[in-house]
Formats: sequence, structure tokens, C-alpha cells
Amino acid sequence: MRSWGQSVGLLGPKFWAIYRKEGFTRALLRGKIYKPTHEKGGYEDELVRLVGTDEFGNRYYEDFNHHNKNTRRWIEYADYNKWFMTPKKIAPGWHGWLHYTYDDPPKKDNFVEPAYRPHRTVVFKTDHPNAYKNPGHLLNDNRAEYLERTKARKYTPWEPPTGSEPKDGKKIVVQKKDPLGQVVEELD
Amino acid sequence: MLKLFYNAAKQRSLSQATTSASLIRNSQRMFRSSAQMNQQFNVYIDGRPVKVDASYTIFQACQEAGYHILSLISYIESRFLDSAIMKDYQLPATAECAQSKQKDLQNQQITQPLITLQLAACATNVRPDLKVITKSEKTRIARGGVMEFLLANHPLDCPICDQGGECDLQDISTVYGYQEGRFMEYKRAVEDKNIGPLIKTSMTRCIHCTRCVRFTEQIAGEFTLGQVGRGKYNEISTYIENMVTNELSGNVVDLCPVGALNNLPYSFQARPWELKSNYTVDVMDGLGSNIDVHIRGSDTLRILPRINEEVNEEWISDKSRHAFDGLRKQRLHIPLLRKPDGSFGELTWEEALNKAAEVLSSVKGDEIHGMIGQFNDVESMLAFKDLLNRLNCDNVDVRKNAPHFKADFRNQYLSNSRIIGIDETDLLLLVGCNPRLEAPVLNARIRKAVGVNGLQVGIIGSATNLGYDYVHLGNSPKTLQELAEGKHPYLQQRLAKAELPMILVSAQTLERSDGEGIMNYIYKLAENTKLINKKEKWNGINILHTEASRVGALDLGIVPQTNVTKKPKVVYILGQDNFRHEEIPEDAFVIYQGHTGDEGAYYADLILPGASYLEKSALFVNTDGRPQQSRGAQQPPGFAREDWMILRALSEQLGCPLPYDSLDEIRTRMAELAPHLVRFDVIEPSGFEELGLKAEESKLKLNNTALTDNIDNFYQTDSISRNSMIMARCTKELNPKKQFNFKEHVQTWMTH
Repeated sequence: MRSWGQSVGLLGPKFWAIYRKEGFTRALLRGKIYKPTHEKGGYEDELVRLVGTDEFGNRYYEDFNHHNKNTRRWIEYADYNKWFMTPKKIAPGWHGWLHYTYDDPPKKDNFVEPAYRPHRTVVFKTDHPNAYKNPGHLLNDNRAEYLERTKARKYTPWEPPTGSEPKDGKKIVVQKKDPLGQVVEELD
Repeated sequence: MLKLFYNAAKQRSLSQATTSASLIRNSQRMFRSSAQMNQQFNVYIDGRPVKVDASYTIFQACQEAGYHILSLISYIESRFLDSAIMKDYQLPATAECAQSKQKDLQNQQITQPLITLQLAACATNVRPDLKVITKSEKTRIARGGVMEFLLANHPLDCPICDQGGECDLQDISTVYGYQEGRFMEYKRAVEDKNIGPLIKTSMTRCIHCTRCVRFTEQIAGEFTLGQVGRGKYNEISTYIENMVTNELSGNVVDLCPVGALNNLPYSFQARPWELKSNYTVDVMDGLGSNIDVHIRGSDTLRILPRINEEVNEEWISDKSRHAFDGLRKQRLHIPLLRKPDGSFGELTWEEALNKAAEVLSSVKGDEIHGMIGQFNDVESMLAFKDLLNRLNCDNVDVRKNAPHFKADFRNQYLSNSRIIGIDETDLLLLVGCNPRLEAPVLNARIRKAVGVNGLQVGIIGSATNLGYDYVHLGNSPKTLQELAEGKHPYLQQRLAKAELPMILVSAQTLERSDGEGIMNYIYKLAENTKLINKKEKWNGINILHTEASRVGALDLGIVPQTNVTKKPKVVYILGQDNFRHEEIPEDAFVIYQGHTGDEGAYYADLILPGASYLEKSALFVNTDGRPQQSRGAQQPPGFAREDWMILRALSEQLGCPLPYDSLDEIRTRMAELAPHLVRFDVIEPSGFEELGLKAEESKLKLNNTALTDNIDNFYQTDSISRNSMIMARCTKELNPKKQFNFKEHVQTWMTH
């Protein structure tokens, strides 16, 4: 029978099975009870098969005994337990496998890397000082300007003439002056 | 078969007038009566009999039966129905037809077996006893197949597409498309085009329905867009890089079924489901186009046209559509008072009203001068007139140089044959009027009449490109004089022969010093022609107003006072910005009540902030005298209030309170003065042609100067559009020569 504590019991038979295959830390981590059911290691009390890992260190699992067949494949990211987790990208070959496009895990003979792959590689800048910050972000340099623009989107008030400007007065009076400062023509 | 046609012809001849003379007359202006009746017969849509016209397509018959095929055709179909130039996209919906191949004439037994065809419903005419099956497995597969072809080269970028949520292709693919795509090949990509500051293109999304091409060619009258290349390489293009410079260009965005042509200022602003629509009326020209203002929260995001076949059909001009962003700039949002040093200080409403009351009550009634601007609603003008009348002031007008109409009869200042009169008339004479700039939507209607009804157009004035052929009679009002006196050959050859001729004068032309003379010569011309055709109840004398408030003001009896000679000490400007400088004396105290800090505000000593046309529920009367109700889409900014409310509060301070506190009460007062104003969307017919439209011999005086274009720069003519950034961009790109013409003195000052 399946129960919460026993599925991967500490120092139980399943623990040692994982320890032998994946090491001590992995065996401890996979015993965590707050993991989602399907990640904990299968619907039944048996060990779920690690199908493989990709170049980023992500691990791919498959469990055919799972009650929902559309969630039978899953990924554990390489940095699952770090403080600042970043979703590392999934290798293109494994992506297809994970989304049930094909059933065989990618190997050299059944998967050809697309030619465009290197060009489209994204550099993840999360937690990096140069990372993208949205315009209203507290740390964005142009935040003040953005807030001003947001206000101007509603309306900007009329800028009435102040006393200091030459154009002020009762009317807009324009004077044309020659180089000596004599008023040649007065337009209104 | 022959007998069948004979019967049909007999039927047709019976339904119409029998004498040959009236037949010819009817054929000349068939558009006045209902459309010509063709042979009528039954078709069966899913077994239901529907009686249809022989000219119908299967698509239309389906619509008649209440079965609406969701397709790319439905939008433009009805518009081109009578002109028979419809060439539309092969719709994804096809109807499966079982038709008897031949049926004998005496309604006997069917002699040959039924055949079944898959037909494109939009491209196939109905036949007698056609049986249409709209729901069958074969049809479903055929529709899905067409859908697959449409989507073959269409990018799947709906999440980043501006059309998402209001895309015809999305709707169709939801209803008719297959669940999965089978197209694994590369999709083609097309370079984006730069076709102006109002339309954003992403041509990869284009599905080549050619609606934009047909709109610009057939409705706007401009031959810039077209199709280039064949097959896979087919593109909608301008061939050489060019801009769509037409004043109606914004409408192609509405026409485009996919996201290929987008509203550029609105792009990436909102999704359609976030928007709230407000049905209201446009004030940018005298036409009173019906518009739909889309707002999100307190922001106005875009303006779309509403269909009103009698006013704007389904189009609006670029200025109506895009100038509203001028309402975000230079707004008057708090009462202001000019200090001795020339700067302005802010006031509370109480202080401002007290100051205004103090100034107005310190002078005599005939020393006050009231000026009314172009964006004012009838309510505020009524309150303005009532208030100044209570102060014994009668010197209220719409600009000093405005045409001096007698407002005794309505037909003296209206477009008497109405906007729909253009569909009926057989000869149109434009006097000093460029409808392309003054009312672009009206120009599209004229172009339609030229193409469909064979309307003849004659022009006295500048010969510009209007998008259709016309006869240019002359440049000066002297030509009008020759016409009226019977010396011009055009009178005998064309004008006198016309059954329902129509004359269109711009109200701005009547602002000339000889405006009265021009008007009187037109009355004189009516004596020799059928301009006033009593038999047909036709009055062809039309004045095209460009200001939205003008007809409402004249309906209320606010007539320019020409006799006032006393120099005013207080000038009260109600939103007027296009006045001449000499109209305001230098030592007068100026109160400006308006919404935008434009020309008028610089003259003001006291500024009372009012509401713009998008911010008030009010009444506007358009150029053919149709009162239309506008509904406020947003709140006035800051401390600004609706104009008639400000005047009502001011009257309280002056000790002569106006007798209305609500919109209903002010409209009751309006009904006392002019009862037709409260019958919305109804044009009150005006009679008394003999009394009102009569030439006076003493006023037949003309200048020899040429009739020039009244509008230099279509995009910036008033306080709203002058502050609009989009209109400024349009001016810069589409009308670079006229960039500073509207404010020459400011340009001089800037260089100085």
C-alpha cells in the first residue's frame, strides 16, 4: 500500500535503491514529502525510472503507472533547490520528448540538432545587474520619466505665460527688429 | 425557358409605370425609388423556401433565410450590392447544392436526376428551385479545407497581434477550422511597408482579400495601393514607395479582416475586451459623424465610426479618428486669473465666479460682447444666450466675419437637400467648396454618386484633386454671376436640363466680404433652374457648415449682430479660438471659457475651464439640421465642469438665476425656443422657399478675387487638432508645405 511516510522512507529500502543509483543527496531530496505527488516517485511504491539527463543537468522522469497519463513525463531542473531558482532551458531534443512529440529520448542517431539553435540561445539575466527591469520597477533608472509619461497620458495642463517671457502681455505682439534694435514692423 | 423570361419581363413592365416618358425619367433616377425588381423565385435553404431576387448570390439568399455564414465577405457585401463591382475573397463557406438540372416549364415532374455541386456561396448566383444544404459533412470538410489554405501563410502570432480579439480570421478558424494544422512547410514572409503616419503594416499577416485596395480605389478615389506579384509572391503594395495620403485612410484599418493594417497610434495600447464603448457624435466637421469612443478607465484610446447611412455611412475622416489626443495636451483644468505682471494665478471656483460676476455686473449690458466657438453644444449656447440676455446684452455672435445669415427660416442656412440628397441629385455645383478637405466623408458620398448614378459635378473655385471627374467652370464668383444671368453656356447645356440639381456652398466661402452677394446670386440662379423643384419637393440650395456649433446657434436665433458699434468693455469668449485679433479691444476684460489653452486663452484675463466634446452629454446639430445627442465618454480633467453648468452657477452669482437645474429642464427650455431640437435624429422639414430664398437686387455685389481653398492644412484647423501630436505628424509627413501656414505669426516669432 501507498502511504505518505513510507514511499521514500529515510534509510528504508527505496532510499538505498536511490542512493545506489543517484547518490546520497538525491536520495534525501527525493524523500521530501512536500513534493508534488507525481514527482515523488510514482503512483505505486516503486522507483520511477530516470530516463536521462541533458547537458544542463536537468533530469527527466517517466512513470507509466501515474493516474493521469498526460503528466507521466516530467522534468526536475538542475537548480531545483537553490535559493534563486532560474528555469534553465530545456534541451531541444528533450523538449520534444517531454511534450509527447516523440517517445524515444534523444540520442545521437535519432535526433539532429537544428541549425538555428546556437543563434537563438538566450542568455538568462535574472538576478544579474543588467537584467531587464520593467519601466515602473523601483530600480529602473528611467522610472521618474516613466511616471511622468503615465501622468501625461491622462492630460497635461496648459502652460500659461509667465511674466518673464518677452511674448507675454495682453496680446501676442511680435516685433521685427533690425540689427540696431529699431522696431521695423509690428505684427500681431 | 423563353416563356419564363417573357413572363418575367411582363411582370416587370407591369410593376413599373407604363408610359415611355416616365419610363425614361424613372430609369434616369431609379435610385430614388426602390431598387429595380428582377425576377423573383423560390430557393430552398435547408428545405425552407425563401423568395429571392434573381440578382442574389447564394450567400445573400442564406442571409435572407436567417442563416449567416461567418465569412470574410459579410462586411463589404452590402455596400457594393448595387454597383455590381463586387469581387470578394472566396469565402471559406461553401454550400452544397442539389439542383434539378432541367425542369420543364409547366411545373411538371422532374425529368432528370438531381446533381450535387460544391459551390462558393459568395460567387454563385441563385437559380430557380435551387436547393441549398448548409450543414453536411462534405461542406464541413470543404470549409475546413479553405480555412487551411487561408492559414497556410498566415503567421500564428495572435498573442502579439493587435487584431487579436477582433480578428475575422480568428472567428472563422474557431468556427470552421480544423483542430490541428497540417502545414509543416515554411511560411512565407513579406516585408512591411511604410504607408503613412496613421497605418501600421505587418504584411506577413495579409491574406490578400484586397479590401484595402478596393476601398482606396473605389471609395476614397486614390490609386496608391495595389497587388504586386503572382502566386506565392503576391503582395499588397504601393509599387513604388508611397504613402496613403487620403483623408479617409484610417478606414482601411477597420476594413482589414486580419492584423495586416493596424491603427498606428493605438498599436500595443489595449485589447478589445478591456475597452468600453461610448456611442457619441463627432464635432470635427459639420457633418456630425456618428462615432464610437473606446475608453479604458479614464483614457480615451481610439475612435471608430458608427454606421449611420444618412450621415457618414460607415466612414469617418482621419481628423475625427485621430485628433482626440489633442485633448490630452494644454488642458485648462483650474480657474485662472491674470495678474498685473502677465502671469496667471490659480483660483477656486467660488473666487472665479465672484470675479466674473463682479466684472459683468460693473458694466452696462451693451458693453458686453459674447463670442461662441465651434465646438459648443446647444445647451451651453442656450445658457450663454439666456444669461447675457438677462444682463440686457444682445451682442452674442459666432465670430464677426461669419456669414450674415438671416435666421428667419431654417432653409436660409441649412443643407436643404440633406446629405442623402447627393444620392438623388443628377447635377452638383460646388461653389467655393472643397468637400475633400471640409467634409471628407461627404466627398466619398459624392464620389459614390459619380460612379454609381452618373452624377455630373461642376466647380466654381479652385480646381483640386477630388478623386472624381468634374467640370471646372471658373475661379471667381464672376462665373456664378454669368450663370445666374444666363450668359454661361453651362446653364443651357447642363444646369437648366437637370431635374434635381444641387448647389453646395462652403460656409467659409460666405465669410468673404461678398458672401451675401454670392448667396443672392445663388438665389437668382434658382429662378432659372430647377434648384427649387416644388413638384418633386426638392430644394437644392445647400450650405456646407464646417463648424459643429453653427447650425445649433442659428436654430436658437443667435445671429451675428452687425449693427453694434459700441466698443465692448467685457468680452466673454465661449470656446472661440479662430477669431481675428481686432475683434477684441485691447483694454477689454476678457473672460475665456473653454477646454484647451489655445489662441483664445492668451487673450484672457479670467479663464473658466470647461469640458470638451468627449466629456459632456449634449446636443449637436449637423449641417443638414439633424439634432444628435452625444454622450460623455470620460470626466472633464481637474476642476473643469460642463459648460452650461458653469453658466448656471455664474447666473446665481449675478443674482439672475437661470430657470433650469438639470439636463431635462434645460432641454425643456430648448423646446420652448426650437421644438425640433429635442426630436433627436429627426430632420425637421423646412418650407417657405419663396419667402426665405429670394434674391435681393440691392445685394447683388461681387468681388473679383478668386475663390481659393478655405482650408490650407486639413489636419490642423482648430484648437483640438492643433494640439494633437498625431495630427502634427500627419502635417509634417503628408502636408509639409503647409506646416506653419495656420499660424504664420507664431512662426515669425519663433525664428525671431
